[in-house]
Formats: sequence, C-alpha cells, structure tokens
Amino acid sequence: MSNDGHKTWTIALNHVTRVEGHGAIKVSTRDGKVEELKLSIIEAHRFFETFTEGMLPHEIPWIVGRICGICCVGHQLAASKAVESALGLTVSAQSQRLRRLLNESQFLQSHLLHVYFLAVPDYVGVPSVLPLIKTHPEVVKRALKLKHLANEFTTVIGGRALHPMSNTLRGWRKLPDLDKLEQIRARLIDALPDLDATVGIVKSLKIPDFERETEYVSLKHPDEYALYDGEVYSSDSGETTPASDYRNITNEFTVPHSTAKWARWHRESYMVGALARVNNNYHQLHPAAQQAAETLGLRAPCYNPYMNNVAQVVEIVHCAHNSLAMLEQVLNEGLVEEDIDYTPGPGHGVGAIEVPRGTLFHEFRFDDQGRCCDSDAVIPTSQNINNIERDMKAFAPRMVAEMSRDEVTLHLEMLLRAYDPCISCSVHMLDVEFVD
Amino acid sequence: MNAPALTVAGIGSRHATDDAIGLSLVDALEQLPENVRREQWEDADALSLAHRLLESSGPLLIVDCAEMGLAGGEWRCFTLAPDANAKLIPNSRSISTHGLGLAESLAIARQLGLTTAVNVFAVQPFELGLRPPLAAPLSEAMQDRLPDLLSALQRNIEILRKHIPEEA
Repeated sequence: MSNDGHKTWTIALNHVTRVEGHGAIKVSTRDGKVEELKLSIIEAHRFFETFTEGMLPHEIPWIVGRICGICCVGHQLAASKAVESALGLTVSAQSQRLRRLLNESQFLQSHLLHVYFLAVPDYVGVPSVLPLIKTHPEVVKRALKLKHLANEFTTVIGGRALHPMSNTLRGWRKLPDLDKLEQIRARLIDALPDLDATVGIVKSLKIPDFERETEYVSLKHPDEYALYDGEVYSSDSGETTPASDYRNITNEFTVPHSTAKWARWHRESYMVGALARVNNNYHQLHPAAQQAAETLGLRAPCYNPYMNNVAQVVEIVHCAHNSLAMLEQVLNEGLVEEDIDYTPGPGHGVGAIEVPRGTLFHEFRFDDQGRCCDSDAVIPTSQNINNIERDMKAFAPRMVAEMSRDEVTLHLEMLLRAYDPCISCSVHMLDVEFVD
Repeated sequence: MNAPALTVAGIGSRHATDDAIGLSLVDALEQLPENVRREQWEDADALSLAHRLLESSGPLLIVDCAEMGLAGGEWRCFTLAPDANAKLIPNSRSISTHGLGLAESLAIARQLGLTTAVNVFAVQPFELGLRPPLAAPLSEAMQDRLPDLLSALQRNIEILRKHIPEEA
C-alpha cells in the first residue's frame, strides 16, 4: 500500500466487467485529492416503450419480459399487474401464489449467479470464477448445482428457465405438473445444507469498511416480506406511497454523462435492491434468513453498500424457505384450471414488483380498441445509478489516501458490482485503461 | 433403477432453426434399448450444462448441431477425449457466461472431475437464425434429412452400446 500524498491519476474503467451491460467509471486525482468522479452509462436506448404501442393487452407481458434476460420474470409480472390494473382484471389466489413462486425462483437464479459468479471472485482476489475451479472446486460445484436447481424451479413453474410463457393475464395457460413440483420441493430441501455452506463462504469474505447512509426504498406489505406486492416505502419518510404514484417517487432526470435516467425522491439519491429491502422489511424475513443475517453480521439498518451482496445471500435463504412453504400449500391444495378469458378495452394501470435488483415499475394505457397507446418502465438500476456515483464520491477520497491505484480500481469496480447493476441485458469484456 | 449404459442427450434451441436438430432427433427416437436413457437438455446455459455433465452417471452421447465445415445435413459421430482427433473449439472471443457453449461446459466439468466418456453425434446445419412464431423449428432441407439422420443416430447408439462394458 502506498500513501505518498502526491497521487495524480486518471483512472478510466471504460468497460466494467461482471455487470450486465456497459458502464464506465472515470476518476481523476491531483496531489492525492479527487478532482472528478463519474459513473457513465453508455448503453443505447432500448425503445421497448415504443415497441408496445398498438399491441393488445395480453401480448405486452411477454414482449416486455424481453427487456432483460436476468429479470425476465419480474418484467413479465410487473407488466401483467399493470395491464390487469388497467383493465380491472382479477387474479385468483392460486395464480398469485404461482406468481410469487415464479418470482422467487428468479430471485434464486439471479442472486446465486451474482453472488457466486460475479461478486465472490472480487473478494478472493481472482478475475473471474474460472480460477476458482482449481482452487475451490467444491465451491464451484455447489454454485453450479444451486444455479441449475433454480433454473429448473423456474422451468417447472413457468414453462422454461428464461422468458417463461405459462403466466398470462389473470393466470396460468398451462399449470405446473404436481409431480415435478414435488421433485423441486424435495430438491430444495436437499439443497438447504448447500445454502448453509453458502452463508459460511460469504461469512469468510472481507467486506470493505465503508458506510454512507442514504434513503432506502422498497415495496412494503403488511403481511409478508414484500417481493411480489405492496406499496412503496421510504426509510426517509417512514411511510408508504401507492405504486401508481411512481412518477413522483422516481422523479427521473437526465445527466450529461449517462444515457440512463437518474432518480431521486426525498433527498439527492436513493437505493433500491436487496439491502434496501432487508433494511426496510427485516422483521418479515423468514426466521432462517434472519438467522443467516445474524451469522453474516447484517443488522438493519445497514449503511454499507458492499453489504448488498450479503443481503442477497440472506434473500437466497429467505426465498428458498418461503418457496418451500408455498410449494407445500400448492401440493396440499392441488391446482385447478381457471378461466383466463378477458376482453381488451380502454384503461390505464401501473404495476410494481420487487426484482432482484430493486423495485420495478411498469405503466400502460390502452385506447378504446384495447390497443396500447402509452407505456413507461422504470427499472431498478436507473434508480440506483445516482446513489452508486454518490457512494463512489464519498468513498474515493479515502480510497485514494489509503490504497494503491490497483486497489482503488478494484474497490470502485466492486462497489458498482455490489449493486448488481443490470445496465442492459448483456455482460461485456474487461477493458481497463489507465491514462496518465 | 440401474445406471444407464448410455445416456443420449439432445441439446440446442428450438428457436434458431437447425440448432434444434439435436432436440428433434432425440424426440424422434423410439424403442430405445432398456439400458439407454434419453434426456433433453433444451435451452441449457453453459453453467447448467456443466452441472448436467457432472451429474451424468455413465457414458454420454450428445446430439447437437455443429459447425464442422461440411455440407448441410451431413453428420459425424466422434468421441471427445484428449487423444481424439476431434476437438471442440472454445469461443475465445467471449469471457462472458453468455458466450459460453458446450466446449466451455465440458472444460469446466472436466476440471471439476468429469471422467465419463463423452461422444457427440453432430449435424451440420443448413440454416441458423430465428424462426417466426409457430413456424416448424427446422429448415425444410433439414426436415427432409431427418429420417436418414435418425437412422444414423440409431446405428451409432447401437455401436456405442455394444462397446460399453457391462459394468458401466
């Protein structure tokens, strides 16, 4: 470690790796002081809001699910809820339970992928998961097993692991097979020791010591740890707001160095995602997840953004146990074919759901012919980017004072990755450039 | 149930024209011998594929579409082993898990201890690309070749099955 007090650097990470999409970090220092720090988002616009114009209501959830290959379930469910709200359609308790299972299966997929394959390499000092195959083969085998199980869980509930097609407006087009649900339940039970081992691994990681208190925003539900339903809660106001008022929550605005919009609510920025959810709804976590949080040293409220990865592990435990309870209910009660007919018509609705990276909002408006004439989507990462940059600005002076250039680079990347950003739907190659 | 002497696994996607040939051929297999099991590893990502390879309990025959520099519809059946003359080419341009394929899955599984013999029945595609909804998954040319390919696959299953030791 060096600390010569004369550090004059420009660190330009033009393509941050192990995140979804293109993000770049640039930090300039002179004589040990940070002069400029920017988190640039350089993805092209996606135009999904335009694609949906003219579409019929039932087509929309499947189309907008393609916004993301990681959160395809979340986009599909948020859109389903928004369209159903617009048309006044009801959803049975059975279908709502299947949707909760589908959503939690996607949480397991996404969090397991991020924790094991994208985040853990940072903490053990290797560039990717591949070197761990030689040094920690049992860890990689466990990661593959759990990820595969989560994929199959989604497949059994939704028809396939990516972009499932079983869910539609009002319910399920093809109900899950009860025998396969029983198999998934048995495999989830078998996997519980693997989750304990996951907690053990993450407990051994050294999380950077940095705190910055911010506003934590998530859904909140009176009866459950809110992942599928609820109103929008702010840790600043201590109150919930209906999701239909999401434009006054996200208050989107633009900055010159980002093609993604930024967001702010009660203060200059806010955080959504696993840590925000755990902070806001800790007492509603499954007891096993609370135990995992205790083991991992995560106590709400926690102001260390790196602990978002730890919160993801806590949610993995929560989703596994909560899914087991829901599967048991489904297996006990059975499944019945339901009427999912509907008539397109005019209307306007908003849907909100928690996806692995935070709160997701969808809004649709339909004309007299039942064709979509206006839509909007606000994804979690666009809500987080403002907060990530402010975290970086808060931590960077200490990083520069205490760390080498390589360590500063790593800690900036780790901070971005801790939020598990989904900047688009793809991961891009490492390309780090230093300019002196 | 005893471990199968041979597992025949189709891989690929039904949304990319002739990439579905492995799945279509395994779908079409009928009356398999008692100790041969069929599986469909449809739309499996590389990490799931690596896990499936690790979990496989006996010799494998993977049925897949492959770019081999042959005429469309031609096939080859080969064993993947260090001393074999057929090797899968890793996607060196990708360091993302999105770009990983069977070659990388197999490499990961081998490093994690896979010792099972892996054989591949590979078919050269006529056409690759997205198909419109409700279209038949395969190109017409490949659809015409399906009966011949199925016969070839069945012959190779029989050959492999006979060469597998009884205790396998």
